Amino acid sequence: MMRRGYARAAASCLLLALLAGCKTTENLVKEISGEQTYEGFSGRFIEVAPSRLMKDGGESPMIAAAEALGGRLAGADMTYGLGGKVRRAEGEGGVRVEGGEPLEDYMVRILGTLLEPWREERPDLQVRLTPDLDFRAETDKDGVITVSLGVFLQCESEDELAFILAHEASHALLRHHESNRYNEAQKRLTDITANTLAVVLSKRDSKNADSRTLNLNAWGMVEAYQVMQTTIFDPAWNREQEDEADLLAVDLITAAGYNNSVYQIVLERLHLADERRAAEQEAERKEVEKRITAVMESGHVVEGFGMALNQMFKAPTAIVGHVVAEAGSDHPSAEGRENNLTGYVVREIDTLGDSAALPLRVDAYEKQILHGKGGKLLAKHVYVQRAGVLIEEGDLAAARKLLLGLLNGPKDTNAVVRYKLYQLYEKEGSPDKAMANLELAAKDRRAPVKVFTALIEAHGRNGDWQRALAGLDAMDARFGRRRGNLPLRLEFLLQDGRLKEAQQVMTECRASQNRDTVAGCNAAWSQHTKPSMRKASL
Amino acid sequence: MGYFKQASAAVGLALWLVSSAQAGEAVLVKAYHPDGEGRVLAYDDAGKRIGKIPVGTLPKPEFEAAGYDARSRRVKVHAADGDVWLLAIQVETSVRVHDKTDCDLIKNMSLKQAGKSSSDGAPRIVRGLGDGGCR
Repeated sequence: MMRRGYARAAASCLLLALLAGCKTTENLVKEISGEQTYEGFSGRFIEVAPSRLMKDGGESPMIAAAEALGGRLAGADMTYGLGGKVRRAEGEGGVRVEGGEPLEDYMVRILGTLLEPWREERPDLQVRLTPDLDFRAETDKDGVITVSLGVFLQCESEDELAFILAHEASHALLRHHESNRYNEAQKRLTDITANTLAVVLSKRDSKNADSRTLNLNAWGMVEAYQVMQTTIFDPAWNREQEDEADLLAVDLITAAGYNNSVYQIVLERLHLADERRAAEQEAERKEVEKRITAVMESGHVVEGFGMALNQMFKAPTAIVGHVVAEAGSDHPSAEGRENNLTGYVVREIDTLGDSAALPLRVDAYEKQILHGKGGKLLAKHVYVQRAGVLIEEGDLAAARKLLLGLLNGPKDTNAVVRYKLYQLYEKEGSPDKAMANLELAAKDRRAPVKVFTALIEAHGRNGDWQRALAGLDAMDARFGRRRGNLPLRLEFLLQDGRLKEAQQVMTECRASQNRDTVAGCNAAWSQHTKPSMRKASL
Repeated sequence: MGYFKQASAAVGLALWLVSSAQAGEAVLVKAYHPDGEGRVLAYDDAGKRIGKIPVGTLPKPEFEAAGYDARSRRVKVHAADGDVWLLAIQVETSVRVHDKTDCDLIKNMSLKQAGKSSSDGAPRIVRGLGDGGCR
């Protein structure tokens, strides 16, 4: 009896030590004390940064053990955006804007200057310009920094752009993808061990009242730990990585002779972009809800349900091209990041102060974005954006004039302009013209995912299942086969009566082991194979 | 009557534009971010560092700045020993960035290129499409 008591106590202590140990305690203390990242070191960050680098990222025994127990760690797959970590949709790598080379070269030149003071190993960095008009920049695990056209349009000086590039490059220089993977390995091993210990404790003499209390305590501890993991440890980890990238960015732009006070502007722009994005998403959600409710209320309950179901199927493809699942509420706030940077710069004001007195490089920046090929590219996107606003406002004639003026003749396949013309003609009620423009847009080798999504949906609406499937094939050929498209493919095949191919897709769905994909495929399958449908098909 | 309404609207619009422009020019100093010893870095008109001065010798926020240099984001204030320029990182002001709309961008492009000759490499697209209906 006594020995059992000791064993339970020992197991409990081990569980407690495990849950409270490692990096988590450090994060907890930081979170509770409100300590800023810059307070964890003295002097300039660029001087202490090498000591904070992950030395054995890919080779760590901890990573090997975690992967052996639970499969591949996804930690390194995260993309570092300006606002924090983001998980990209499957196959989404950011379409490169056509004709963006002059602006990409400009960014490469800035990056070259920024990296000069970095004495540690430099990853192979690449720069890619995307047609996104949102304020967005990201770094992926391969060192590809994507910067949206929106960044160029909103920024007003080279200093701002330099800070953004420096921040993104810093994630790569600081090997955050590696440390992220290490952190995930640590978390996985803790979870597995804690769960195993909790199971062991819960199996001991469950009839005994003391043991039952202990069981509850063990599971309670594990549950509490998991709650703390998502609410405290993960956000603290993410915040620290963003703070580190900010701190190094300030040091890099200072060394390169830029005005380092621009971090304030960039973070403010980021905050505005976040607000705008949230408002747009909310408006979009309300619009879809309104349409479904309207159909339901008109008595077409089945059709309304079908729309809701379609919306569910469409979701994986419709949102490709955007961030699917941002790290959510654990994104470090722009205000918190600004406080950290201001605290740091003010503490190191003797060496960092003079940089903030320098004139901003506005002329050099305007030369790049207003003139030459780069200027032409940006102007085209601004006018297309303007046409979009005119379409929304209902001034279709003005929008048409603007868009047609941007094309080089009737054979021009420019996807950005053609897609906007498609939206215009849809609103105008000219489906043939709309479709013609969409098909031209799909011929553009740089056409984004949304062009294919719209094309597939349009064919689906017309009941032209073969062309809808051809659209899906073209999309897969361009962007790689995506499991998120499987429910839609299944739906079209079933609609077209191609049962054998549908069965193959169903098998592919199940093999994907993705919950959403499997659920989508099951729903499509059951809808099309219900008795009435079977009867009709017979 | 119609003419009167139009004239009133035009005057109202002009007044609103003037007041907006004036409101945009006023920069308020809201707080200081001094170092551990309660001092901030100060610069002269030529951009030369004067040294650190105690915030006690500066006006107490919130007040209207004596000047604002948009090119370096520095703020001019009346100190006890004369005017000094302070850094944006040590002075919190009312200056805020604005989300540029499509019309802001078109106007900006058109304005910036208005004075340039056609041989400067400026995109012809802007000249060809005008203000895109932004008025």
